[in-house]
Amino acid sequence: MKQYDTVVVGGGHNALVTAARLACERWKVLVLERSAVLGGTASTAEIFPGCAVNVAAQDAGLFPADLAADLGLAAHGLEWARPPALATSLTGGGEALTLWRDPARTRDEIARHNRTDAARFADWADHLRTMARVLRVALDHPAPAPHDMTTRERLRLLRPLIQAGRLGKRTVVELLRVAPLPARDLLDDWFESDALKGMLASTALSGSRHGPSAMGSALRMLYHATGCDPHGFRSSAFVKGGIGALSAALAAAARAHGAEVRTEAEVERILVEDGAATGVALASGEEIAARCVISGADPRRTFFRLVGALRLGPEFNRKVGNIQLRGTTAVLHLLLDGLPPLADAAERLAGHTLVAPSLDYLERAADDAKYGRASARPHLDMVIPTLHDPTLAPAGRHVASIQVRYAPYHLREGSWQDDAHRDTLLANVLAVLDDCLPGLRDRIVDQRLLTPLDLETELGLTGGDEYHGQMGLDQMLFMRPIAGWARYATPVKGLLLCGSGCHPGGGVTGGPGRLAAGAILRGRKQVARLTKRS
Amino acid sequence: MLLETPFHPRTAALCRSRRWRNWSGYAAALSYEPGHEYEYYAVRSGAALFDVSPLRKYEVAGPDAAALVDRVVTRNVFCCAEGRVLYTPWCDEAGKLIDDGTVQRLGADIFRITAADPCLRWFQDCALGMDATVRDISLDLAALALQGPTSRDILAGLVTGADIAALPYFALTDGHIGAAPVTITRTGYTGDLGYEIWLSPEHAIAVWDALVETGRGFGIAPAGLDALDIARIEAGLLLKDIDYVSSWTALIESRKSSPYEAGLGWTVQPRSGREFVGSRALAQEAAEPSPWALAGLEVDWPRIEERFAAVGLPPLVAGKASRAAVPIYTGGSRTTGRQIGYVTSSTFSPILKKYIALATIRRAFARPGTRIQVELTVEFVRHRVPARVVRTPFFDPARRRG
Repeated sequence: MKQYDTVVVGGGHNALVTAARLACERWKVLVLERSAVLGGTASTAEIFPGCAVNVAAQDAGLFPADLAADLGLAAHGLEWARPPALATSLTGGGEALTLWRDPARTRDEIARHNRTDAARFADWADHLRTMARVLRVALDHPAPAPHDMTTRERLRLLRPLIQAGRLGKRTVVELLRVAPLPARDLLDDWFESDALKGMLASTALSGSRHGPSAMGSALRMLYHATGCDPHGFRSSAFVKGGIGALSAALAAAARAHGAEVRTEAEVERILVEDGAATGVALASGEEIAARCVISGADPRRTFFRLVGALRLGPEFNRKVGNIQLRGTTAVLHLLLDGLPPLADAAERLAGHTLVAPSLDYLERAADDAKYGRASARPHLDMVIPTLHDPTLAPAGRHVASIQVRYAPYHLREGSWQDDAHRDTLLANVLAVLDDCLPGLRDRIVDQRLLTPLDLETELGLTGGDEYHGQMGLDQMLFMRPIAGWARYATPVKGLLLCGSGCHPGGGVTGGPGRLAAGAILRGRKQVARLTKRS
Repeated sequence: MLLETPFHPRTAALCRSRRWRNWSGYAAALSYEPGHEYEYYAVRSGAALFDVSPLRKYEVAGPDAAALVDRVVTRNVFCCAEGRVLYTPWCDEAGKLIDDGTVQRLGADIFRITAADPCLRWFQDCALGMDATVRDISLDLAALALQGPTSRDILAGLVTGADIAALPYFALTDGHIGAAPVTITRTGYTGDLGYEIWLSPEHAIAVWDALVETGRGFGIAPAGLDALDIARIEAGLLLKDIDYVSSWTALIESRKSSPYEAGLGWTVQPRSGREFVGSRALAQEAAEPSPWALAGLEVDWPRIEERFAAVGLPPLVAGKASRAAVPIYTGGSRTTGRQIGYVTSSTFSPILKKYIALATIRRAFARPGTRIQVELTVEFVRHRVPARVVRTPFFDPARRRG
């Protein structure tokens, strides 16, 4: 039997980052993906005949440029699309407010609604950029370990502290003030226009079941701005060929360094002997041995399904059971035979197209979720990838992928297996679209709705949570995935985590994958040093 | 306001001493008469009837019930046949004691566990990934302990549908007392011949009355916790949070105890191929024994009397059990002896006529026969009196198992 240094469970983008990094260090790596396409949440599949559709994630604006450069992803076919429009908010009755990458254009656009807000927007963009930069320092380094402050830990903290310090003491203090705020309070501080505030607050919603009035929602706004320049909104960048092309480039980079990447190879169990991982067993019955196993699956799936709760202690299991894995997003894919009748549709709809007309609208949508119902008037975040890459669909066709919030995984009555719930949600979405994009309905040729339950079954996301754990103050940094286990190691020796459930968190960031690889390599070096000494 | 057990209408009427203690939130009689001597002697020479309803009771059921109980406790549950009962502690992952109690195997896939304190969430956490359910049945099950040499005769004449005379030690049987269905286990907390009776609260009064009526000719007496405390020390049985501190309530690490440190090493039964909670830590401890151990002590009674007599007092420690922690020193002179442990429970044993104690002591001094000294405070002055390590149980009549 072939012996691998490591088997990576799952072919999501983080798992591929880890695989590529380890392969670069001449590790013998095998990646095993259950589905036929790589990427997991960041995959592109033929959902409609002849169309490449981004299954769940749309935007890779948080993927760090330096990581892409490190892995030489451009050479493996990664090409970015950054359309001039960042986001267009549909405010009803065919009205729209667009934020552009060009600050002057954004200012003019906002001025049509509110001249004071227009004047402040450049300052806001600066503020968001600066805050995000400080937060980024925390996300770029392994999480601190405040419960275990050894000298080594203190030294390890020095570098991020110095980096953050360089950004200015006042900036750091301001981040501490802003991060726990409700997005509503932060935005009320800056702006008057409901349309603008609703639009900006929409970036606070993904990764949580809470609305913009919830404590800590401002942190999610900052989090979503920690990638490429957010221009006052969020880091946004699309991948030509669909987001799956990013995963494909990562896989190609890993393969170029000798990693093996297998699809349609579902890991059913992680093999554990004497408290140490020894390999994996596939659904096909095949067993593969490895020196260590790295799981890109979410923590609960990893521990409860792949390892088995019985191999872990009850105290640890309780913590794993308490991780907030709560999908609240459904994805509706629409196949269109043309763009909706909106002025400059091809330009304005090339970024994120939002239904987020006000903070109150978003809050009411969240209220429904709080009581276990899908939102009657959901918040929508639509991306039409065919606008920046026409090759994704046959000529004359467009694909619109809509993230629908809120569609809580746990419904108060019934479940998503009920067609009635699916039908209601679909009707709610279409009703909202009728108000905001009149005429879109007539363009729909085909549709496919993925509820949180579908996301769970199709992508293996526990609770349909595409973030592998809610992104809140209580589940970030040293508390991600659980307090005391934020350094990618697990109670099972030789089993590590590298997915979005780990620090720094969810989204197409590559961060967990990169830091996990770093931790694994550092651990290996320490062992090597120690053995050399003795 | 303390809760009342299902037997409260009877126990309250009988409790002439009006001395109650809070036991798990319930009012439990310390003694029924003004003094507890009669109740104690009922344990050793008649039959004492204890209301033990405040115990926590759990039901574990399902195809994985045996595997779950086996995962929780330190003893090998797969060796426990249906109709048998085990005494066992359970530990946290670090191998430190959480609680102890009995495990009754009612059937292949159904168990009852008794515990001193609530453990529902712990059992349920341990059940993760197993096909078994854990239910708190504390309120669904009233419990009596009938303990003493005549207890068998009382039950044999009263229980129908079960052969009480043939019920082995640590076995259980179903039967009826009058119209009331009961489960009877040959278990107890006195180290004597005795039984515990588990029944639905609705039959509580009828069963109590039937026992008292039948027991009249057999020296039955309702008994309280004071008598029980003396009997359990004589039997060398531990009391949670007195003789060991649960790892859940210990404020500091050093207060926690492993089964080995609490004299329960015999309950740690490693099973090949299966782990139980704490098994790894305990395996390690078995290889590198802890410096602490549990020991029984016999304190030199004449020397205690002398110390009291010197100030003109009778030995005031006689009478009831004490839960005060008392330092233990090495033998030798008062100035050279160093502290090597502490007494956790002590009592004058009325049947042995000796002063006995359970102690946590350095393992090096825990061998039977070792001579040590125990602190004794007489009229606010500290003294040391000689004592000797002895085997427990201090009192072990053949009828306990026979």
